[in-house]
Amino acid sequence: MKRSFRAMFYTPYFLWLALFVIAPVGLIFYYSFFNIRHQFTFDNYATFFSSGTYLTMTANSVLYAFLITLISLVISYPMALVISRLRHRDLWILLVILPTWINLLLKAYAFIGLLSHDGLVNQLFGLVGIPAQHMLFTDASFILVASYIQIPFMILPIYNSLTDISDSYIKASHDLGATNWQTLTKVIFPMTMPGVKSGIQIVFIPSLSLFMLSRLIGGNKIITLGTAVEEHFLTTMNWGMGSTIGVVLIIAMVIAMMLTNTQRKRRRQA
Amino acid sequence: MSNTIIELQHVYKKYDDFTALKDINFKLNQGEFYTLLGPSGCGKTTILQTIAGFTDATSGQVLFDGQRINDIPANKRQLNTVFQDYALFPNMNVFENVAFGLTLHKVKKSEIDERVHDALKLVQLEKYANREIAELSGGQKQRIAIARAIINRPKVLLLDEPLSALDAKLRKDMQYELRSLQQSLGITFLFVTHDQEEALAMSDEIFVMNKGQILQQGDPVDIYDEPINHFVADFIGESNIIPGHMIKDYEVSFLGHTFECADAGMRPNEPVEVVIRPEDLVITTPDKGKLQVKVSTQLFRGDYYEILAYDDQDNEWLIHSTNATTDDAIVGLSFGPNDMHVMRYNETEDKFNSRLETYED
Amino acid sequence: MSNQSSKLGKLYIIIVFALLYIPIIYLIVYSFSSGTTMANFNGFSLTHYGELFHDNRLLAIFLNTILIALLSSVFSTIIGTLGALGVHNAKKRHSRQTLLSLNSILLVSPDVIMGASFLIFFTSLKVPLGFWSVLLSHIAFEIPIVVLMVLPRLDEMSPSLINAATDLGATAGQVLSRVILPFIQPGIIAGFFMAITYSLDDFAVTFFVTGNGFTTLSVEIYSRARQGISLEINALAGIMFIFSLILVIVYYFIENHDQSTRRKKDKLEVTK
Repeated sequence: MKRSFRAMFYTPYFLWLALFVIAPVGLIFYYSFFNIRHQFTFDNYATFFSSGTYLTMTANSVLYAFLITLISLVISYPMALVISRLRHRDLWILLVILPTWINLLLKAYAFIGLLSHDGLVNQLFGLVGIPAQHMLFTDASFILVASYIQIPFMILPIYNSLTDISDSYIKASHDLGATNWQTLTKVIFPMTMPGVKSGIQIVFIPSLSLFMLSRLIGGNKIITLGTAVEEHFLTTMNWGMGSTIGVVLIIAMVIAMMLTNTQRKRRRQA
Repeated sequence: MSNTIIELQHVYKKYDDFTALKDINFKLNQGEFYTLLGPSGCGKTTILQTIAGFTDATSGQVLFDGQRINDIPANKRQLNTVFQDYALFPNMNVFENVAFGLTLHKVKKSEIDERVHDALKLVQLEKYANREIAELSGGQKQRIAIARAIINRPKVLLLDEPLSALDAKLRKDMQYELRSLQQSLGITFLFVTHDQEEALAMSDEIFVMNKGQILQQGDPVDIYDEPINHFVADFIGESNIIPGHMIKDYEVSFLGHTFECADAGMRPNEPVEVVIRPEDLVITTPDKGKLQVKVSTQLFRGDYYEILAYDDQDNEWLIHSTNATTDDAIVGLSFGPNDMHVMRYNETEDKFNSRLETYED
Repeated sequence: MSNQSSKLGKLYIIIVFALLYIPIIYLIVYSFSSGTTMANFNGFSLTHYGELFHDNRLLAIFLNTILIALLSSVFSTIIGTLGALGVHNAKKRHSRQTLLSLNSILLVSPDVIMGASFLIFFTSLKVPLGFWSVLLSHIAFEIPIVVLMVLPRLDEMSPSLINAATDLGATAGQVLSRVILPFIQPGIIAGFFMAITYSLDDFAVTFFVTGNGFTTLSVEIYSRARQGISLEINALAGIMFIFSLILVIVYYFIENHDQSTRRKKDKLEVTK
């Protein structure tokens, strides 16, 4: 191919890289050094790291994201394991994928109904004699709904790494005298670590910033890094502070990625 | 009149820290079957790609029909390639693949039909025109790749290890077919392979390559009988290579014995290497043999026994024999002056050839 | 697996599947209730679907959403395919790695970061917030997934295929249109579908970069849900569920069609 022909070809993509990938990230960093009156300052960072509110909020966000990831992992691993052994596993995994095609807000909205004071869950509680609970707008409900949304995204990479394991490894393990449990813990689990890691990455990072969920399910009680960014950008219009929190979020994300160093692709197909 | 179709003059190909081709010079004549033979990574495919135009020579000239073609893009060069993995377009059927080169050039539909039919007939697959590529066997894909490459009536066909993906039986059959195809088309074939048997069987002329250089050029018999150095002797066929000294013309000594040989033109007492092919060694009784060896292992190869033996200085000897011998027996080896070929260390091809001319007729 | 543990396993996945689907079924069941809350089912009725189809504002939003999804997917598919070609042709391993890392930044970064940074970006360029900012943002976050869907097909393509076409006399344009594009077509289609679903799914980025005058379904659902239960949303969920199902079916049909032809090929390779 001729050079000029090539250049013309790749220009749109490189323009996109420059304008929508590099520039916006740069702008977030840039804005984090300005206060609400557009003066250059380090105050945003000073405020962030000296304020109890911001630090607790960061700790809470990380804790929430950690719990959401843990719950999803605990539920998803056995799920992926069982499905990977089923005869029509392609079909079953399709059933796992299907809910991910439904808009996240609709799923959150369903939980508003389910968890409301006279919703389905409380009606079921009533049947076994438990008095109606206030479940909406609590930490637990937020974690529950977030885990619900993330579970399919955790199952998929684990399932993929499970199906990548050749059957002969499992046969070899049995052949050498390992029990089912030993095969699981000594052969299968270590071999699916890449899947587990990418699952953790896929779930943990977005969980840091699920502001719509914390608003809809957590009420205004739960403030995470995501909610704080949203509030500073869209409500109080303090973009400098919002950007500073954004930078913290980016750093948290980079740390999470370094700890689980595999490429994250939030892909739906099995 | 010269009937040179392709000529390479001082062609070099350099990458950042690696020289793939060092001073390649050769001429290819019209209508002959040439083979570039060498181990993988020796640069033989690079030569092919330089001629086809997929890669540029760092320096040197590539001439086609007397014209420099270094700067002519691949799609304008009048030669075609058969690829190692066939490179048949999976989105087209057999007919469309073969017709591809014609459809690019606004050839009339009726002419396309006719020429595709002829090309398919030539490779004996005229009934396969409507097959999908995925439905073909390896051998069929191979033939379609050839049909596609000759549709534009090139003067030269470049073949990049085209038989390497086939199984042994099919490969032998295809060797005959390729040879007869080349003769019936009357065009130049430049064939690349690492398989010495293939090269010996099909070629008019072989270029043996190693580490980016052409070591020896010649017809198959010359290359087999008179390899220029240790590498060529070892790479082409199987051989016993023993260090020795040239006493004087027609007399060589190794393993403490002096033998009459057929080589000359070297300095007296020059250190040399002597090649004896396993099939030229005859097993006899110890007293009748020129050398005595102890048999170690024998393998039955179907048409002969391959016998591994050691002399008293622990040199390994490979012998091909139609009869079996006894394990651990001491046997004699006999061979004649013409069964030995003496090689000098670091002799260039030019010097080798001119030396040979001084005493061969 | 022993019989007992396999039974236990089946029970386990049935429970998890039930939990996964109960909220969705619950949502859709109540869309057919004649009542007004998701607490008591008051008998079957299509009232809420009727309301939905007479809600001109919602219909306009629905059309906006589809328009944004289709337009952004077309553009992102074109740019992403060109980008995949660029990444694929990157000569050095190092530059390919760099391009891929840059490519995946938007896939990795949290939605709020993307939304906030795009908001700053559009405001500093004085792009009015509304249709155009939403369209541009959607194109932007869909491009990387298109690249990731197309690139494996390109990498799968033997380089000798391009050499073969050139060798037979094809120009660069002919190589692209007659060999490369047909070969990577399944990847392009998959990328296009993924782009559509990314667009339909997105809430956070749109929420940040949309102005007052322009809304998509996600944003509308969010603002209505904040006000509480309205069974019209349930009806909307029902329709979107059907819509997603159709998309899934079309997508898997295309994927499996592609895979089955490839599988057929593999089988022949083996039996050869």
